[in-house]
Amino acid sequence: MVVMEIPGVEKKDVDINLESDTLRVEARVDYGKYGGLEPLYTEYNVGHFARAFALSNKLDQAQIGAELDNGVLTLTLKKAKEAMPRRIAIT
Amino acid sequence: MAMLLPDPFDALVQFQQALDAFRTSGWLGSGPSGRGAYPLLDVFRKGDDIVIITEVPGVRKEDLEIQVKGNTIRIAGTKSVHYGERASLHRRERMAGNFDRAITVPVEVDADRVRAECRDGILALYLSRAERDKPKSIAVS
Repeated sequence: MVVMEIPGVEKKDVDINLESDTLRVEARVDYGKYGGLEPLYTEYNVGHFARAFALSNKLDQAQIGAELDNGVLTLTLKKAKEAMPRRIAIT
Repeated sequence: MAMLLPDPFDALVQFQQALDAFRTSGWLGSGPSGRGAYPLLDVFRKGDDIVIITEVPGVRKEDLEIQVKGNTIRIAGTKSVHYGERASLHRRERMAGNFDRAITVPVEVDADRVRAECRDGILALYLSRAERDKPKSIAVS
């Protein structure tokens, strides 16, 4: 599970791409919401979010779930069947 | 001539006590408040009004408390991070804990007309300047 904070991003502005074992998440902030506002005092800069993760082949890359709630994006990565521990019975 | 030195053990004990007090005061806690001010605020002006925007991802509306008095706004709340029952952590970058901060704006705020919106992890406070605080234009006769 990967949980990340992307405040101010709507669901439609989140891009999750998987390409050659790299999971790339890009989230864009709608600057239009800041229209007509004149900054007086700022402690942080508003900007887009981007981050990439290298995935091991022990993950099932076909099954990636994503959920956005209250500015928190949760990606659920399932372990591949081959990577699951296997019990060996004594014969 | 013998010099009067302070008791070194006494000094050590005092130092130890000061360290303990610092350690148990909560200033070094793992909460967001332990890493400087949280949440970070941006203050904007929109006409006569002031807009305060802050990022509070993962904080629920009911866990936020906003108070206004005069020209001071207090933003307090609790941020919790849940990973589920059977999760083991590989890497942790997100912080959880209580926060409480106050900001003073240079204008008097009409406490009855403060509007707070929280969406997608962004908290926006719309503060109206009190009528009696607004400058009056005087026509030249």
